[in-house]
Amino acid sequence: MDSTKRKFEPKLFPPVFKIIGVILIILAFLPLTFINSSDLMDDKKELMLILIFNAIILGLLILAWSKDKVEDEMTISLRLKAMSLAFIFGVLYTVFMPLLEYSFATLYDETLVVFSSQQLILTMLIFYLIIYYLQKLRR
Amino acid sequence: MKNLLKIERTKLNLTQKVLAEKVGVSRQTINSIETERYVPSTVLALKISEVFQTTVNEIFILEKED
Repeated sequence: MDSTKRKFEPKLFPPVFKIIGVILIILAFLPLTFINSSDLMDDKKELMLILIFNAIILGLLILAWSKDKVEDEMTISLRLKAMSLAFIFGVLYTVFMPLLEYSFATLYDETLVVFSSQQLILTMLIFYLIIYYLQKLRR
Repeated sequence: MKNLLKIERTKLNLTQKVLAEKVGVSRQTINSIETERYVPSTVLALKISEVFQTTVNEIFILEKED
């Protein structure tokens, strides 16, 4: 077998990066506890929220893209399945969520919340992690 | 597809962990193969058959649905 023809193996972070990802997510949540009571102007609060969400998204990405203790062909297969399902979920979320939010806003006379890419990516990453670890538990 | 992995493993008195180490995968993967929840790649199937000194066809059997 030609050793130069290798099947796809994703380049993942070492397992220790999972801890870094979790720490980043926890640290990102901390400012949320005092952001409302702070003296920051509204536009500064909005910027803070954007940065907090970005930090959470990065933390989740690092967590999702870190190797398990033992990474083999089965875990790669499980990752691929979880990614495929997360992608399909993302598409369905993009299609239906704005409609749901619009219906909710119309029914309850609430301000329409604009659907953002941060929402989508955050939801997809969480979905990917749930599916991946659920699959692993079932094995 | 069904397999006789557990039977072959028992013949050689190997644990799942030892077999996993010999073929370079996790114990979970060997368990998943034995319980038919995961179909191994060609390379892994060949490595397993090498450990048992037999052919792939002797361990992995195609079923009608396949």
